[in-house]
Amino acid sequence: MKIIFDRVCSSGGLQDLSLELLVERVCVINDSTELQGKRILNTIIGLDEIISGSLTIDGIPWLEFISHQPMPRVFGYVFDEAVMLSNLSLRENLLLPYRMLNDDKADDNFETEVQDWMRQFGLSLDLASRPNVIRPPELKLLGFIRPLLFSPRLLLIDNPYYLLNEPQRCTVLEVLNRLKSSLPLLILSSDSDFNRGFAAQIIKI
Amino acid sequence: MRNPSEKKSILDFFSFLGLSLYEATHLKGNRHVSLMVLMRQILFTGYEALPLISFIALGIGGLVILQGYSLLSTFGQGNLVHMILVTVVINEMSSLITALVVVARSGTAISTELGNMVVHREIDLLRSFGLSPISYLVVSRIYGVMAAMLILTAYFNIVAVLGGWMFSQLFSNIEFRAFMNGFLLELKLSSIIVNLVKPLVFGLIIALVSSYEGMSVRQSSTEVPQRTIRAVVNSIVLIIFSDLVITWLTWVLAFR
Repeated sequence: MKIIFDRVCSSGGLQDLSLELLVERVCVINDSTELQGKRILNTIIGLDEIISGSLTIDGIPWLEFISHQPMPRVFGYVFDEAVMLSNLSLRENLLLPYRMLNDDKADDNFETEVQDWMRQFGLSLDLASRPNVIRPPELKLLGFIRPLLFSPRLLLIDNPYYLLNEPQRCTVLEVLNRLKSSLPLLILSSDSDFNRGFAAQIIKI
Repeated sequence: MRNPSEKKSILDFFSFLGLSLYEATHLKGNRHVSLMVLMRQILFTGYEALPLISFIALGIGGLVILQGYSLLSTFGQGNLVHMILVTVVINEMSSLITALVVVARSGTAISTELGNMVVHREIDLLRSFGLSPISYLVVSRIYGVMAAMLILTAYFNIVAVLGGWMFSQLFSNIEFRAFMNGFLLELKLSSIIVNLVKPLVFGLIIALVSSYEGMSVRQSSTEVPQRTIRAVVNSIVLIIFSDLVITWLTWVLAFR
Protein backbone atom coordinates (compact mmCIF):
# COMPACT_ATOMS: atom_id res chain seq x y z
CA MET A 1 0.00 0.00 0.00
CA LYS A 2 1.43 3.34 -1.09
CA ILE A 3 0.30 6.38 0.89
CA ILE A 4 1.27 9.76 -0.54
CA PHE A 5 0.80 13.06 1.28
CA ASP A 6 1.13 15.90 -1.19
CA ARG A 7 1.40 19.31 0.53
CA VAL A 8 -1.24 18.35 3.05
CA CYS A 9 -2.52 20.81 5.64
CA SER A 10 -4.87 19.23 8.17
CA SER A 11 -7.19 20.43 10.92
CA GLY A 12 -4.92 18.60 13.37
CA GLY A 13 -1.92 20.74 12.51
CA LEU A 14 -0.11 19.21 9.51
CA GLN A 15 1.49 22.04 7.56
CA ASP A 16 2.30 21.47 3.90
CA LEU A 17 3.38 17.89 4.53
CA SER A 18 4.73 15.94 1.59
CA LEU A 19 5.56 12.35 2.43
CA GLU A 20 5.53 8.95 0.77
CA LEU A 21 4.84 5.86 2.86
CA LEU A 22 5.32 2.47 1.28
CA VAL A 23 3.62 -0.02 3.55
CA GLU A 24 4.41 -3.38 1.98
CA ARG A 25 4.64 -5.20 5.28
CA VAL A 26 5.67 -2.89 8.08
CA CYS A 27 6.37 0.82 7.98
CA VAL A 28 7.49 2.54 11.16
CA ILE A 29 7.28 6.27 11.74
CA ASN A 30 10.01 7.20 14.17
CA ASP A 31 9.00 10.50 15.70
CA SER A 32 10.58 11.29 19.05
CA THR A 33 7.98 13.98 19.84
CA GLU A 34 5.18 11.72 18.48
CA LEU A 35 3.19 14.84 17.62
CA GLN A 36 3.72 14.89 13.88
CA GLY A 37 3.45 11.11 13.63
CA LYS A 38 0.14 11.19 15.48
CA ARG A 39 -1.15 13.84 13.09
CA ILE A 40 -0.18 11.65 10.13
CA LEU A 41 -2.07 8.65 11.55
CA ASN A 42 -5.07 10.83 12.47
CA THR A 43 -5.24 12.17 8.92
CA ILE A 44 -5.09 8.70 7.39
CA ILE A 45 -7.86 7.38 9.66
CA GLY A 46 -9.97 10.51 9.09
CA LEU A 47 -9.91 11.95 12.60
CA ASP A 48 -8.28 15.10 11.22
CA GLU A 49 -9.73 16.77 8.14
CA ILE A 50 -7.58 17.59 5.13
CA ILE A 51 -7.82 21.34 4.59
CA SER A 52 -5.59 21.55 1.52
CA GLY A 53 -3.30 19.31 -0.50
CA SER A 54 -4.04 15.73 -1.38
CA LEU A 55 -3.75 12.34 0.24
CA THR A 56 -3.77 9.37 -2.08
CA ILE A 57 -3.64 5.67 -1.33
CA ASP A 58 -2.42 3.42 -4.12
CA GLY A 59 -3.05 6.37 -6.44
CA ILE A 60 -6.68 6.73 -5.37
CA PRO A 61 -7.84 9.88 -3.53
CA TRP A 62 -8.41 9.15 0.19
CA LEU A 63 -12.15 9.87 0.17
CA GLU A 64 -12.74 7.57 -2.78
CA PHE A 65 -10.53 4.88 -1.27
CA ILE A 66 -12.56 4.69 1.94
CA SER A 67 -15.95 5.04 0.28
CA HIS A 68 -16.21 1.48 -1.10
CA GLN A 69 -16.07 -0.37 2.22
CA PRO A 70 -16.87 0.40 5.85
CA MET A 71 -13.97 2.19 7.51
CA PRO A 72 -13.03 -0.68 9.90
CA ARG A 73 -12.58 -2.96 6.89
CA VAL A 74 -10.17 -0.46 5.31
CA PHE A 75 -8.20 0.95 8.26
CA GLY A 76 -7.87 -0.48 11.74
CA TYR A 77 -6.61 1.89 14.40
CA VAL A 78 -4.98 0.99 17.70
CA PHE A 79 -5.05 4.00 20.00
CA ASP A 80 -2.04 4.68 22.22
CA GLU A 81 -4.30 4.92 25.26
CA ALA A 82 -6.83 2.27 26.17
CA VAL A 83 -9.90 3.95 24.64
CA MET A 84 -13.25 2.23 25.19
CA LEU A 85 -16.82 3.51 25.43
CA SER A 86 -17.30 3.62 29.19
CA ASN A 87 -21.07 3.07 29.16
CA LEU A 88 -20.79 -0.24 27.28
CA SER A 89 -19.45 -3.60 28.39
CA LEU A 90 -16.28 -4.96 26.79
CA ARG A 91 -18.35 -7.27 24.58
CA GLU A 92 -20.63 -4.40 23.52
CA ASN A 93 -17.55 -2.31 22.80
CA LEU A 94 -16.13 -4.97 20.52
CA LEU A 95 -19.50 -5.63 18.89
CA LEU A 96 -20.53 -1.99 18.39
CA PRO A 97 -18.98 -1.48 14.94
CA TYR A 98 -20.46 -4.79 13.73
CA ARG A 99 -23.93 -3.82 14.91
CA MET A 100 -23.69 -0.36 13.41
CA LEU A 101 -22.36 -1.63 10.10
CA ASN A 102 -24.93 -4.40 9.90
CA ASP A 103 -22.29 -7.05 9.55
CA ASP A 104 -23.83 -10.49 9.98
CA LYS A 105 -20.43 -12.07 10.39
CA ALA A 106 -20.47 -10.91 14.02
CA ASP A 107 -23.10 -13.27 15.29
CA ASP A 108 -21.54 -16.36 13.75
CA ASN A 109 -17.87 -15.88 14.42
CA PHE A 110 -17.56 -13.20 17.03
CA GLU A 111 -17.07 -15.29 20.18
CA THR A 112 -14.65 -17.72 18.52
CA GLU A 113 -12.55 -14.97 17.00
CA VAL A 114 -12.41 -12.91 20.18
CA GLN A 115 -11.38 -15.90 22.28
CA ASP A 116 -8.71 -16.79 19.75
CA TRP A 117 -7.23 -13.28 19.75
CA MET A 118 -7.46 -13.06 23.54
CA ARG A 119 -5.47 -16.27 23.81
CA GLN A 120 -2.82 -14.90 21.46
CA PHE A 121 -2.52 -11.71 23.52
CA GLY A 122 -2.50 -13.65 26.78
CA LEU A 123 -5.75 -12.14 28.00
CA SER A 124 -8.33 -13.70 30.25
CA LEU A 125 -11.19 -11.28 30.77
CA ASP A 126 -14.90 -11.39 31.51
CA LEU A 127 -16.31 -9.60 28.47
CA ALA A 128 -19.45 -8.68 30.39
CA SER A 129 -17.37 -6.30 32.55
CA ARG A 130 -17.35 -2.55 32.09
CA PRO A 131 -14.06 -0.97 30.97
CA ASN A 132 -13.66 0.96 34.24
CA VAL A 133 -13.06 -2.27 36.19
CA ILE A 134 -10.32 -3.49 33.84
CA ARG A 135 -6.68 -2.44 34.16
CA PRO A 136 -5.45 -0.06 31.42
CA PRO A 137 -2.79 -2.48 30.03
CA GLU A 138 -5.46 -5.14 29.50
CA LEU A 139 -7.74 -2.60 27.84
CA LYS A 140 -4.84 -1.60 25.63
CA LEU A 141 -4.43 -5.22 24.52
CA LEU A 142 -8.17 -5.38 23.80
CA GLY A 143 -7.58 -2.24 21.75
CA PHE A 144 -5.35 -4.36 19.51
CA ILE A 145 -8.01 -7.04 19.18
CA ARG A 146 -10.88 -4.68 18.29
CA PRO A 147 -9.60 -3.60 14.84
CA LEU A 148 -8.19 -7.06 14.08
CA LEU A 149 -11.72 -8.53 14.24
CA PHE A 150 -12.51 -6.63 11.03
CA SER A 151 -9.48 -7.85 9.05
CA PRO A 152 -8.60 -4.34 7.84
CA ARG A 153 -6.45 -3.68 4.79
CA LEU A 154 -4.02 -1.62 6.89
CA LEU A 155 -3.49 -1.58 10.64
CA LEU A 156 -2.31 1.71 12.12
CA ILE A 157 -0.77 1.42 15.57
CA ASP A 158 -0.05 4.44 17.71
CA ASN A 159 2.75 3.72 20.18
CA PRO A 160 2.28 -0.06 20.61
CA TYR A 161 4.24 -0.29 23.87
CA TYR A 162 2.48 2.52 25.72
CA LEU A 163 0.94 1.35 29.03
CA LEU A 164 2.38 -2.17 28.70
CA ASN A 165 4.87 -3.92 30.99
CA GLU A 166 7.80 -5.99 29.76
CA PRO A 167 6.04 -9.39 29.34
CA GLN A 168 3.07 -7.73 27.65
CA ARG A 169 5.46 -5.91 25.28
CA CYS A 170 7.03 -9.25 24.35
CA THR A 171 3.59 -10.71 23.66
CA VAL A 172 2.63 -7.76 21.45
CA LEU A 173 5.90 -7.94 19.52
CA GLU A 174 5.39 -11.67 19.01
CA VAL A 175 1.84 -11.20 17.68
CA LEU A 176 2.87 -8.32 15.42
CA ASN A 177 5.74 -10.42 14.08
CA ARG A 178 3.23 -13.10 13.10
CA LEU A 179 0.80 -10.55 11.69
CA LYS A 180 3.21 -8.65 9.50
CA SER A 181 3.35 -11.33 6.84
CA SER A 182 -0.41 -11.16 6.26
CA LEU A 183 -1.41 -7.62 7.25
CA PRO A 184 0.37 -4.35 6.38
CA LEU A 185 1.23 -2.41 9.55
CA LEU A 186 1.90 1.30 9.94
CA ILE A 187 3.41 1.86 13.37
CA LEU A 188 4.22 5.09 15.17
CA SER A 189 6.98 4.30 17.62
CA SER A 190 10.45 5.44 18.59
CA ASP A 191 11.07 2.16 20.42
CA SER A 192 14.17 0.25 19.36
CA ASP A 193 12.23 -3.03 18.97
CA PHE A 194 10.40 -1.55 15.99
CA ASN A 195 13.27 0.50 14.63
CA ARG A 196 15.86 -2.29 14.37
CA GLY A 197 15.14 -5.01 11.88
CA PHE A 198 11.38 -5.15 12.37
CA ALA A 199 10.26 -2.74 9.68
CA ALA A 200 10.76 -2.77 5.93
CA GLN A 201 10.63 1.03 5.90
CA ILE A 202 11.47 3.49 8.67
CA ILE A 203 10.47 7.13 8.33
CA LYS A 204 12.34 9.39 10.71
CA ILE A 205 10.61 12.65 11.49
CA MET B 1 -9.27 17.51 15.78
CA ARG B 2 -9.22 21.28 15.91
CA ASN B 3 -6.55 23.53 17.12
CA PRO B 4 -7.31 23.85 20.85
CA SER B 5 -6.74 27.58 20.79
CA GLU B 6 -9.40 27.99 18.14
CA LYS B 7 -12.52 29.59 19.57
CA LYS B 8 -16.02 28.42 18.78
CA SER B 9 -18.18 30.84 16.87
CA ILE B 10 -21.92 31.16 16.36
CA LEU B 11 -21.37 29.70 12.87
CA ASP B 12 -20.09 26.49 14.48
CA PHE B 13 -23.35 26.21 16.38
CA PHE B 14 -25.44 26.70 13.24
CA SER B 15 -23.28 24.20 11.40
CA PHE B 16 -23.83 21.69 14.23
CA LEU B 17 -27.55 22.54 14.27
CA GLY B 18 -27.88 22.01 10.52
CA LEU B 19 -26.00 18.72 10.57
CA SER B 20 -27.94 17.41 13.57
CA LEU B 21 -31.32 18.34 12.09
CA TYR B 22 -30.35 16.86 8.74
CA GLU B 23 -29.35 13.56 10.32
CA ALA B 24 -32.39 13.61 12.63
CA THR B 25 -34.72 13.94 9.64
CA HIS B 26 -32.92 11.33 7.52
CA LEU B 27 -33.31 8.30 9.72
CA LYS B 28 -34.17 5.82 6.99
CA GLY B 29 -31.25 3.47 6.49
CA ASN B 30 -29.15 5.31 9.07
CA ARG B 31 -27.87 2.48 11.26
CA HIS B 32 -25.71 4.81 13.28
CA VAL B 33 -28.71 6.00 15.30
CA SER B 34 -28.82 3.91 18.42
CA LEU B 35 -32.15 2.69 19.79
CA MET B 36 -30.40 1.80 23.03
CA VAL B 37 -29.16 5.39 23.51
CA LEU B 38 -32.67 6.65 22.70
CA MET B 39 -34.36 4.36 25.23
CA ARG B 40 -31.81 5.18 27.92
CA GLN B 41 -32.40 8.90 27.31
CA ILE B 42 -36.17 8.56 27.65
CA LEU B 43 -35.71 6.49 30.80
CA PHE B 44 -33.36 9.01 32.40
CA THR B 45 -35.02 12.22 31.22
CA GLY B 46 -38.62 11.05 31.50
CA TYR B 47 -39.18 8.18 33.90
CA GLU B 48 -36.58 9.09 36.51
CA ALA B 49 -37.79 12.71 36.63
CA LEU B 50 -41.38 11.71 37.48
CA PRO B 51 -41.10 12.04 41.31
CA LEU B 52 -39.63 15.55 41.10
CA ILE B 53 -42.15 16.62 38.45
CA SER B 54 -45.00 15.19 40.59
CA PHE B 55 -43.89 17.18 43.62
CA ILE B 56 -43.46 20.44 41.67
CA ALA B 57 -46.72 20.03 39.72
CA LEU B 58 -48.70 19.28 42.85
CA GLY B 59 -47.25 22.31 44.59
CA ILE B 60 -47.68 24.66 41.61
CA GLY B 61 -51.26 23.51 41.00
CA GLY B 62 -52.10 24.06 44.67
CA LEU B 63 -50.35 27.44 44.90
CA VAL B 64 -52.01 28.78 41.76
CA ILE B 65 -55.45 27.75 43.04
CA LEU B 66 -54.81 29.23 46.49
CA GLN B 67 -53.44 32.53 45.15
CA GLY B 68 -56.03 32.70 42.37
CA TYR B 69 -58.92 32.04 44.73
CA SER B 70 -57.73 34.58 47.30
CA LEU B 71 -57.41 37.21 44.54
CA LEU B 72 -60.63 36.44 42.67
CA SER B 73 -62.79 35.98 45.75
CA THR B 74 -62.16 39.63 46.73
CA PHE B 75 -64.09 40.51 43.56
CA GLY B 76 -66.66 37.78 44.17
CA GLN B 77 -65.33 35.82 41.17
CA GLY B 78 -63.98 32.76 42.97
CA ASN B 79 -65.62 30.51 40.37
CA LEU B 80 -63.20 31.81 37.71
CA VAL B 81 -60.34 30.02 39.38
CA HIS B 82 -60.33 27.41 36.55
CA MET B 83 -59.45 30.15 34.10
CA ILE B 84 -56.37 30.94 36.16
CA LEU B 85 -55.44 27.26 36.24
CA VAL B 86 -55.69 26.92 32.46
CA THR B 87 -54.03 30.24 31.67
CA VAL B 88 -51.18 30.02 34.13
CA VAL B 89 -50.46 26.32 34.53
CA ILE B 90 -51.59 24.63 31.32
CA ASN B 91 -50.64 27.37 28.85
CA GLU B 92 -47.45 28.53 30.44
CA MET B 93 -45.97 27.02 33.54
CA SER B 94 -46.22 23.30 32.83
CA SER B 95 -43.96 23.28 29.78
CA LEU B 96 -41.67 25.98 31.17
CA ILE B 97 -41.10 24.38 34.57
CA THR B 98 -40.75 20.94 33.02
CA ALA B 99 -38.15 22.37 30.65
CA LEU B 100 -36.22 23.91 33.54
CA VAL B 101 -36.25 20.59 35.40
CA VAL B 102 -35.06 18.78 32.27
CA VAL B 103 -32.30 21.38 31.73
CA ALA B 104 -31.17 20.93 35.33
CA ARG B 105 -31.17 17.13 35.19
CA SER B 106 -30.69 16.01 31.61
CA GLY B 107 -29.12 19.06 29.97
CA THR B 108 -26.27 19.00 32.46
CA ALA B 109 -25.97 15.22 32.19
CA ILE B 110 -25.80 15.29 28.38
CA SER B 111 -23.25 18.08 28.31
CA THR B 112 -21.07 16.46 30.99
CA GLU B 113 -21.24 13.00 29.44
CA LEU B 114 -20.38 14.16 25.93
CA GLY B 115 -17.66 16.47 27.26
CA ASN B 116 -16.05 13.58 29.12
CA MET B 117 -16.37 11.40 26.03
CA VAL B 118 -14.39 13.99 24.06
CA VAL B 119 -11.70 14.22 26.76
CA HIS B 120 -11.39 10.42 26.94
CA ARG B 121 -11.23 10.23 23.12
CA GLU B 122 -14.41 8.15 22.90
CA ILE B 123 -15.69 10.45 20.14
CA ASP B 124 -12.46 9.83 18.22
CA LEU B 125 -13.00 6.11 18.73
CA LEU B 126 -16.45 6.29 17.11
CA ARG B 127 -15.06 8.31 14.23
CA SER B 128 -12.25 5.81 13.73
CA PHE B 129 -14.97 3.19 13.10
CA GLY B 130 -16.51 5.52 10.52
CA LEU B 131 -19.50 6.06 12.82
CA SER B 132 -21.03 9.52 12.94
CA PRO B 133 -20.98 10.82 16.55
CA ILE B 134 -23.87 13.15 15.62
CA SER B 135 -26.07 10.25 14.53
CA TYR B 136 -25.01 7.89 17.29
CA LEU B 137 -24.98 10.32 20.21
CA VAL B 138 -26.87 13.49 19.32
CA VAL B 139 -29.81 12.35 17.17
CA SER B 140 -30.79 9.68 19.71
CA ARG B 141 -30.69 12.30 22.46
CA ILE B 142 -32.75 14.79 20.44
CA TYR B 143 -35.57 12.27 20.02
CA GLY B 144 -35.21 11.00 23.57
CA VAL B 145 -35.41 14.43 25.21
CA MET B 146 -38.26 15.59 22.93
CA ALA B 147 -40.32 12.49 23.69
CA ALA B 148 -39.60 12.77 27.42
CA MET B 149 -40.52 16.48 27.45
CA LEU B 150 -43.85 15.72 25.79
CA ILE B 151 -44.68 12.97 28.28
CA LEU B 152 -43.49 14.94 31.32
CA THR B 153 -45.45 18.07 30.34
CA ALA B 154 -48.65 16.08 29.90
CA TYR B 155 -47.99 14.40 33.25
CA PHE B 156 -47.28 17.80 34.87
CA ASN B 157 -50.65 19.11 33.62
CA ILE B 158 -52.56 16.14 34.99
CA VAL B 159 -50.89 16.29 38.41
CA ALA B 160 -51.21 20.10 38.60
CA VAL B 161 -54.95 19.95 37.89
CA LEU B 162 -55.39 17.21 40.50
CA GLY B 163 -53.29 19.26 42.93
CA GLY B 164 -55.42 22.29 42.19
CA TRP B 165 -58.59 20.37 42.99
CA MET B 166 -57.08 18.93 46.20
CA PHE B 167 -56.05 22.37 47.44
CA SER B 168 -59.40 23.87 46.42
CA GLN B 169 -60.96 21.57 49.04
CA LEU B 170 -59.34 23.77 51.69
CA PHE B 171 -61.64 26.68 50.97
CA SER B 172 -64.55 25.31 48.97
CA ASN B 173 -66.19 21.93 48.98
CA ILE B 174 -66.32 21.69 45.20
CA GLU B 175 -66.90 18.23 43.74
CA PHE B 176 -64.25 16.72 41.50
CA ARG B 177 -66.68 16.37 38.57
CA ALA B 178 -67.76 19.99 38.86
CA PHE B 179 -64.16 21.13 39.16
CA MET B 180 -63.18 19.19 36.05
CA ASN B 181 -66.22 20.42 34.11
CA GLY B 182 -65.23 24.01 34.87
CA PHE B 183 -61.67 23.26 33.90
CA LEU B 184 -62.58 21.53 30.62
CA LEU B 185 -64.87 24.40 29.67
CA GLU B 186 -61.91 26.76 29.92
CA LEU B 187 -59.55 24.43 28.08
CA LYS B 188 -59.39 25.44 24.42
CA LEU B 189 -57.96 23.70 21.39
CA SER B 190 -55.23 26.33 21.16
CA SER B 191 -54.08 25.42 24.70
CA ILE B 192 -53.79 21.76 23.72
CA ILE B 193 -51.85 22.59 20.54
CA VAL B 194 -49.52 24.91 22.44
CA ASN B 195 -49.01 22.15 24.98
CA LEU B 196 -47.87 19.83 22.22
CA VAL B 197 -45.65 22.33 20.42
CA LYS B 198 -43.81 23.89 23.37
CA PRO B 199 -42.42 20.70 24.91
CA LEU B 200 -41.15 19.53 21.53
CA VAL B 201 -39.44 22.85 20.83
CA PHE B 202 -37.99 23.06 24.34
CA GLY B 203 -36.80 19.44 24.15
CA LEU B 204 -35.09 20.14 20.83
CA ILE B 205 -33.37 23.20 22.29
CA ILE B 206 -32.17 21.36 25.41
CA ALA B 207 -30.79 18.38 23.49
CA LEU B 208 -29.12 20.47 20.79
CA VAL B 209 -27.56 23.09 23.06
CA SER B 210 -26.36 20.55 25.64
CA SER B 211 -24.93 18.23 22.98
CA TYR B 212 -23.24 21.12 21.20
CA GLU B 213 -21.63 22.42 24.37
CA GLY B 214 -20.57 18.91 25.41
CA MET B 215 -19.00 18.16 22.05
CA SER B 216 -17.29 21.57 22.04
CA VAL B 217 -14.95 20.45 24.82
CA ARG B 218 -11.50 20.14 23.30
CA GLN B 219 -8.88 18.51 25.48
CA SER B 220 -9.08 19.40 29.13
CA SER B 221 -11.46 18.02 31.74
CA THR B 222 -11.64 21.51 33.29
CA GLU B 223 -13.59 22.59 30.20
CA VAL B 224 -16.38 20.16 31.03
CA PRO B 225 -18.00 22.12 33.91
CA GLN B 226 -17.50 25.38 32.00
CA ARG B 227 -19.32 23.98 28.99
CA THR B 228 -22.03 22.52 31.22
CA ILE B 229 -22.68 25.95 32.73
CA ARG B 230 -22.91 27.42 29.24
CA ALA B 231 -25.30 24.65 28.23
CA VAL B 232 -27.63 25.51 31.13
CA VAL B 233 -27.49 29.28 30.61
CA ASN B 234 -27.91 29.12 26.82
CA SER B 235 -30.71 26.55 27.07
CA ILE B 236 -32.66 28.71 29.53
CA VAL B 237 -32.21 31.85 27.43
CA LEU B 238 -33.33 30.09 24.26
CA ILE B 239 -36.28 28.40 26.02
CA ILE B 240 -37.59 31.73 27.38
CA PHE B 241 -37.08 33.37 23.99
CA SER B 242 -38.85 30.60 22.08
CA ASP B 243 -41.63 30.59 24.70
CA LEU B 244 -42.18 34.29 24.06
CA VAL B 245 -42.26 33.70 20.29
CA ILE B 246 -44.70 30.77 20.51
CA THR B 247 -46.99 32.61 22.95
CA TRP B 248 -46.92 35.74 20.80
CA LEU B 249 -47.74 33.70 17.67
CA THR B 250 -50.59 31.97 19.49
CA TRP B 251 -51.91 35.31 20.67
CA VAL B 252 -51.69 36.81 17.16
CA LEU B 253 -53.43 33.80 15.60
CA ALA B 254 -56.11 33.66 18.31
CA PHE B 255 -57.07 37.34 17.95
CA ARG B 256 -57.06 37.56 14.17
